[in-house]
Amino acid sequence: MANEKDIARLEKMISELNKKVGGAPGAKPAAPQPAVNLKNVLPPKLKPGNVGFISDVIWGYGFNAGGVTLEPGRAIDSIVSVTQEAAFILTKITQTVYVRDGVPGSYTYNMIDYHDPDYAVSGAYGLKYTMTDAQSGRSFMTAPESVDCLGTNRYPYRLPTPLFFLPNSTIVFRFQNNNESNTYIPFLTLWGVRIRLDEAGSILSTLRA
Amino acid sequence: MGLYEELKAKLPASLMPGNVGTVDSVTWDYTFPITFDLGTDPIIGPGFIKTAFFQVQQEAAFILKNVSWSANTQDAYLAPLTIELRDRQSSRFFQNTPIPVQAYGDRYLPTQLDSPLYISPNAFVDVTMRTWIPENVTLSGPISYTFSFRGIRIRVKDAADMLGNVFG
Repeated sequence: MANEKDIARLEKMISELNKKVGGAPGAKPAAPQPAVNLKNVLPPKLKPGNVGFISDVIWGYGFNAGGVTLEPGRAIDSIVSVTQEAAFILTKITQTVYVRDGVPGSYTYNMIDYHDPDYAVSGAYGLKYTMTDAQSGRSFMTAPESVDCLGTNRYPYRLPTPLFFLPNSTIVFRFQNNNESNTYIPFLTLWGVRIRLDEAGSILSTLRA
Repeated sequence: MGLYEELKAKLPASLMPGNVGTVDSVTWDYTFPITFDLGTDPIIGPGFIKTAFFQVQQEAAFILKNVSWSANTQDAYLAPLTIELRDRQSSRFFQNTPIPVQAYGDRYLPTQLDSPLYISPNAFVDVTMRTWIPENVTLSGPISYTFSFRGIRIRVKDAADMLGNVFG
């Protein structure tokens, strides 16, 4: 247990440090000069998120799910783990699905091109997915949804509201291939931003008040 | 009344040009294109890797706003390739695993970043192309890709104080 003298000495040191960096006791030090410069010059939509205090910056990030080979009738789980450094705010999802054709030893892999008339209607027919928050066991859908219903690179599926995931949290995607003949390799790319949290430890669930 | 003040008085904010003002406040549109030329009938498979990078010139910083790509043939457009972006200064990756090329918006419909990314003057961004397929496959014909990293340039004060793209 620290004695009163130690506490007073530490408070004095903090006060002196705050004076040196120009901040009031208890306040954050002044923002780095470039951040001030950018803040004054740029319109809001062009202000970079990765300039500022270490706990305030945000930066664009993509998490991949999938990349697994799904032969007809198979189902596979794909897990996305949000790394410990920062939380993740999911804003949009794109799907990229490849079809494997041919026989062992001479396979070919091609992306399903939704702009190609041959695929415009059929897409990745039979390929479905579910998305579950592993911490709470909460599923984001009542039944598997067709991967075709997610957006493509040109027109990503934008979530109605951004979805927040804590550091170390896990999202489980279950892919299911109900097609009778096609072998698919699906990728779902989760686009969003990373943000560090001051009180990450106090948040217990993905959905919170 | 100077040009900046005159335009500011007459134009709506959305039409105010960025390249009018003092030397420290102007911004201008800029693109860093990079090319991956895989040659003719390239073989891709485990171990396939191509690297490229762009470097922001010293004059001004770059604020990355969107990314797009284009391919020279239909085979290239559909090929099972991935790319990975990394800030060389901090070794920070911008994805957990390499993202399929086709997950990025192509040509005239680029992927818009949710938050513009500040890249310091002199900084490098590395781009690595790989594939996820477990066996060798030959792509037919000449295969090449161009990626465009688009945004604006802006001069900043104290640029030398910045050590990485994400910093405190």
